[in-house]
Amino acid sequence: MLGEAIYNMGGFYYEYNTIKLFLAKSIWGQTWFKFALRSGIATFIIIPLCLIKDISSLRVVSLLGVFTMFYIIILIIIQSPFYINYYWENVYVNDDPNTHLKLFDFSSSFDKNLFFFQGTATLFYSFTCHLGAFPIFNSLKQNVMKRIQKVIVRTLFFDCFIFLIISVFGYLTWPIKTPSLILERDNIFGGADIYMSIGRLTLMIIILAKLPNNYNSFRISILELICGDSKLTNKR
Amino acid sequence: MNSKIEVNTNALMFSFKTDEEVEQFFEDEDLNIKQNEGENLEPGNRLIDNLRDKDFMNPEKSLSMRLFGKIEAGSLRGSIFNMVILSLGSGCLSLPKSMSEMSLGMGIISIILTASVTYWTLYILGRTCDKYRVFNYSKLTRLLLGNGFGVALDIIIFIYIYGIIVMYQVVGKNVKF
Repeated sequence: MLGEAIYNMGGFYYEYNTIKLFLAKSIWGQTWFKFALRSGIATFIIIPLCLIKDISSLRVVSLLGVFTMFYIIILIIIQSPFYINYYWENVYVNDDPNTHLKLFDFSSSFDKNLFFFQGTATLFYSFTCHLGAFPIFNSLKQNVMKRIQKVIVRTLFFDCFIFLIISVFGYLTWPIKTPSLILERDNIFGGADIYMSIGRLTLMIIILAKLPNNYNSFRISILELICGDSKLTNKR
Repeated sequence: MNSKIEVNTNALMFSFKTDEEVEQFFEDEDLNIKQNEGENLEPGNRLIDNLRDKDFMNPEKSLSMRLFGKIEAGSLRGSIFNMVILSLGSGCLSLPKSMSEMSLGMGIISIILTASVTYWTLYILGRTCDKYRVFNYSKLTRLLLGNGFGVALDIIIFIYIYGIIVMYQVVGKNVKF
């Protein structure tokens, strides 16, 4: 399918970019190797995962993604005392309100920029899992409301916990000129921050784990649209 | 025992049907299944009702087994991890930026507000799935709102996934090692 090809192209394209930057001056930077790497990742990782018919088979990949997210969370928490000290000693100026923490500022959320709505839109995007929820509900054993509700409630608690930790610690560690992705904050330790580099790599693993989950529901919709039948089969 | 009512997957089947016709369809489906497996059913119950509140959790399983045991296909934990990974990603890593714009307190209020709305929307979806025993977004939309909305939804899903692909590429390009 064309969509599948586009999807998987998108999947390994970002791998290419990050790895290119990571190891630009070695064999990894050569064109033939990049092509082989991209093709290899697409052929042996992304396409097989995307072709899985039963979404419950992706539970191990999802677990890997969740663990890698925990790595990022733990890293942010461990590094936070150093970053908070750095802020109070080097960034904070008592007379300059632009360098102060914004603990509760109602006016800045609803000024002409309407940051509250922008931030809430980002949050809605972060929480969005409705599209993939249907195949998950379908693959759930004894998928009656009681168990579906358990999945929903526990998922949202899990999400809220992760989001709160990342938001609070991420903001407190770099409150002024906060980067779009918290992994891109400046390194205060000097030299290379290898742990954060691993964290950036784990972001790619998380996205890799997300791709097949999103793709499953996408494939069902496309089959429904084109064939009028969304049953996943090898015979079509 | 088949726990699901298999719905005919013809895309036009439910288009522009009245509520009474839809209810009649499902009553007929129930009747067919009861006739096939009538001896296993209590009188007056739908097939799926017999599954409710029975054997949700094996009481003989210890707490450690429930928490750290093997994750089986279709299990509660496996489904939760699949749902969680759908929400995680670059979106949540950009939340500190939103906090710096909104302020910390307003950000936390926003998280709670958004989580509540997400719960409500997922609850509605789950309840509708459970009521009609249709676990497909397109089919459910076609069933309840007609074929036009179903096609519109499929197109929206296509655009949404395309947007995700583009977003992943932007994130991948911007992350510097």
